[in-house]
Amino acid sequence: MQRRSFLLASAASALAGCGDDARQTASVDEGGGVPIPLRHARYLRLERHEGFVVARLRAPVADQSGGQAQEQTAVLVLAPKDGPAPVLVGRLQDATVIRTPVTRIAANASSDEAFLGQLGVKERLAAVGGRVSYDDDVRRGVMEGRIGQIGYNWHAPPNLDVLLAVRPDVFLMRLSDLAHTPVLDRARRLGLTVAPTFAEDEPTYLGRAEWIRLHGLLTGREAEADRLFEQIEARVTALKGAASQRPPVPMVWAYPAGGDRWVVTVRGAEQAYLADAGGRNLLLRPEDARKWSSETLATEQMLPVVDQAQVWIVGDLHAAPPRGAGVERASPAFRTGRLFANTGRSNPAANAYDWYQTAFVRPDWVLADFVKALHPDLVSEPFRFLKPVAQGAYK
Amino acid sequence: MSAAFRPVAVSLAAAGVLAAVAVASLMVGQVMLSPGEVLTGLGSIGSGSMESRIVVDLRLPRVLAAILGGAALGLAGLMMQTLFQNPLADAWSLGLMAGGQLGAALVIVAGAVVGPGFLMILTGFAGLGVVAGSALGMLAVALAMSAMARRVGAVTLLVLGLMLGFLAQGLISVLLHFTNRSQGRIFAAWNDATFANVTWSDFAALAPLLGLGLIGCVILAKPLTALLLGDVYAESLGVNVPRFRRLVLGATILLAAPVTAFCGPVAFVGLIVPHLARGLAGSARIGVLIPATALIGAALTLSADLVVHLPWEQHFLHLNAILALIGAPLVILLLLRARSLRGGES
Amino acid sequence: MFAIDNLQIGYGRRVLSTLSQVTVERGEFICLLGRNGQGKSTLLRTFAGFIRPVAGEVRLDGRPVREWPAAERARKVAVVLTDRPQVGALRVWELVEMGRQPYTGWTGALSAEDRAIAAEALAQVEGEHLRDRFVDSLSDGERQRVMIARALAQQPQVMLLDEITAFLDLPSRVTITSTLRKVAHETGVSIILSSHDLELSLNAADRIWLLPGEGRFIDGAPEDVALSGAIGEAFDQSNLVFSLSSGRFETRASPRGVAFVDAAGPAGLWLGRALERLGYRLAESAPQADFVIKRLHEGYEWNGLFHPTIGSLARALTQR
Repeated sequence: MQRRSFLLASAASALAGCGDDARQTASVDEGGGVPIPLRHARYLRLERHEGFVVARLRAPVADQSGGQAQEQTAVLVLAPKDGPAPVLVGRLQDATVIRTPVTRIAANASSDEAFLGQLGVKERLAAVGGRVSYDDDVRRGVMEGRIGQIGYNWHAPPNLDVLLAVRPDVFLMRLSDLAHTPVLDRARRLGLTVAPTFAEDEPTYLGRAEWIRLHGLLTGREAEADRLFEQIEARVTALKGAASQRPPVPMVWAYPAGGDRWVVTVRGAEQAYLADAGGRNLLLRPEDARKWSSETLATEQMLPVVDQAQVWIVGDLHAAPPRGAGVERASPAFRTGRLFANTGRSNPAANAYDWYQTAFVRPDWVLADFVKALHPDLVSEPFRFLKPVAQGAYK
Repeated sequence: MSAAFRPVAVSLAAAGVLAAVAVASLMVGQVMLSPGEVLTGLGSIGSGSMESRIVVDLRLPRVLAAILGGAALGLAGLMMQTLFQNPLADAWSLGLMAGGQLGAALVIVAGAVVGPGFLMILTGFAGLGVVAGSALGMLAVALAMSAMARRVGAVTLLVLGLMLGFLAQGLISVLLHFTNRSQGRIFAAWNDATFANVTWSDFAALAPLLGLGLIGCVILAKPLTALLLGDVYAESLGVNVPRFRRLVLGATILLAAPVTAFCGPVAFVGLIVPHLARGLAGSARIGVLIPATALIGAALTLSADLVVHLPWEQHFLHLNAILALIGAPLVILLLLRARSLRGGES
Repeated sequence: MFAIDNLQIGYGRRVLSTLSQVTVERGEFICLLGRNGQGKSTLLRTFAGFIRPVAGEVRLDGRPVREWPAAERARKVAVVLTDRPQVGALRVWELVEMGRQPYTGWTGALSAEDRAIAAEALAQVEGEHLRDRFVDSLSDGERQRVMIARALAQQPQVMLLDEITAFLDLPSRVTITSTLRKVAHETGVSIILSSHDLELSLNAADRIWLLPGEGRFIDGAPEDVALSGAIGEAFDQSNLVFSLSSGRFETRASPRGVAFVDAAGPAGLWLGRALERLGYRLAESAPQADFVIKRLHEGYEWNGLFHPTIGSLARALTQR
């Protein structure tokens, strides 16, 4: 519906302003624009054209069994509100047009809330995933009804009726699985501007954070986004450098999941934190972009390495505490009390956990925590996301 | 083979199978051990060696829990089937375990109300809060079912039990809605029945309770046999039926509640094992069936547990799923063959 | 034994029947008769102590039957009921041996003597050949015999049997009734059997208890009860009458005529029955009758016609 009206409007304006602006209605294909260089993000490509920006998004969605799921793709055309409306022709015909800067934003992924928060535009949030935002202001807004709720984060398809009532300029939609794609199509057919987001699917932690530049473009805060990201990148480089000077610390990131099972980080962006912070993951597995970064292992598989672990990230929101600390006891980490949980920034009473929000946006903070855990003398600022836990505690 | 010897032979065979599966369970897992390594592990308790940690700290308690749990649930099923005169009765099918689930969930939710300190107690004291909650829940349902049993027929009672199960699930789902995610994890972890959670210190509570239940079962064997003919005949043979009902329910709870509390709700065992024992031993006398039921129950449960813990590459199987694969076809077979259950009798 | 003194049986406040002075002595075979709903089952269950009398007491060896502890009562009173319990995988000898439960210890283990008693009980009902069979695989008649054996193994003083012959065929019914009578007389066990089989009961019982209705209770020898007309009173209907002369039920209808049977012995008896079935009254002598049927060497003669069988004769008579 939007596309048709744009076509009509631009046809009308073309007729009216006949003679100039012929170049604004020209079609744009792959080679037409100037790419905005992105150093880490693999699933985002940005191209600057005369008067608008094209964002191409592509991400495979990994499913739990390690199989490759369908690739999701999307093309966005970001056109300023105070400029002429673009006419989509050629390969851009099916793109989604977003008039920028957006002032009303709906987002069902908590990481998107964090991106906007870091850019200082959280007041533009009109609807979020649920009542579990770590940001007190946002959460209060939801409780008081000023901000709509469109479903429990990305675990369930979004509430289309709330979306329609809120009338956002753009709905940033995290697709958790294929089941939600029909919902995306339906949302579009209902006239909503939907932009899928794949920041959390990036295989590197800097790649995830670099998506802030898309948020910057959407909200008209491009400069702030670029500046923030450079700051993040610089800090990460510095921390990596400092940590690489030290011998690696053998460690394990595994939390108990009931029975005799443990959820262990073995690869991917999370594992990269450990490696970049100067740790040697005793349960490292080969990289595989199709698989998730953690695997469920039996206690027996952990026993061979447990007594070498000097640092153990044993706590997690999802941990199901076992009835005794029998397994951890054998590790040096247990004896010396170098046990940690990733629940540093959490508000259990509100069911809010910043690990799933700001941690995606500020990998510099996360890496600082890991370096601090492994090499305490290298970082002076206090822990943020990680926190030391007592023996036998898992949260 | 004479009819009198057959039950003995069945018990001996079951014991043999049990021993073999137990040995296999100690050897097999994500880390495969040879018999020699198993023996080394058993012999070097406390040495901290890999073998002893795997065998003694991990596998042995699990195997023992599966054996005791399977035997206890089998006996509980035998008693319930006789008490309710219902071939499909057992702690799971009549909704007792659903009551246990609800009790456990209520305890966990109470933690949300009382505060995070309560949660620490829950997990610190070997989950004793959950244990007590599930035991009370089972008792409540057992009493309700016992009262209903006089008024409705066998299949109706079974449907009531299954409906109770759904009701409990619904209530639990709503309850957990009001807790935070970590409490939900605690409940989910308990609800996924497994013997791998049992530690050595748990046996201090488990063993005496199950022992009492077993003693109760043995003492009640004679009146239970009389009850095979029905309430009236049992009374005419000298059984004080109302008092006896209470005792049987008590013994059943002593057997089923601790297993459910420590290992989660285990399905099907109590339902099918008495039938297997009866069919193989060729006798319905309770005294004769007790050893056969206990041994077959232990063997079956341990075998299912072994399947769960085979070195699958990435998949973690659930105990109840394996038991269902064995149990559900058997129940279907039973329904089709048993005259008392055919034809929609009510 | 049993002694009753003004007993009212029933449920709640509803009194089904009142018994005044009744005693049951050793070795008596008593048949309890009455139409459905008059309280036969209630009476037996009251005697067994399963249900409470509305008023009065059933005394067993001096004590009210409900006051005896269950185990001791089980050594005095045994029951056999109509219902068929589902006893999958129970063998006959196991079932009979269950009758020894009131005498065995808490383990239920049987001594050699117990086993002998159980075997004897099974022999008394002529069921030794059924010993190793599964109870579920028996025919109805065999199953009832086995249940009686179980009750006998209890070595009771009294056995109460509630319509156990209901689903049996005639030979089985006769067998069981005569077995019970034999058991009563040989072992001294008093047997109270409720039955719908009027004629069999009148033939076999030492005593008849009759519940004719309206809360009454008749107690006496079968012949006394019959001659008193109580049976007719209890069971007669518009189309059915208990005949004192023949000792059985006969249809009541206006006779179509009077016939004289000129035959002797069994032929005469059965010919008479056929004529009565056809609706004729029998006369004492030829002149009193409308017609005569004479038995000849190979058939029957009537009205000058010869019929080889009673059946053809009957057909001819019907067409008359």
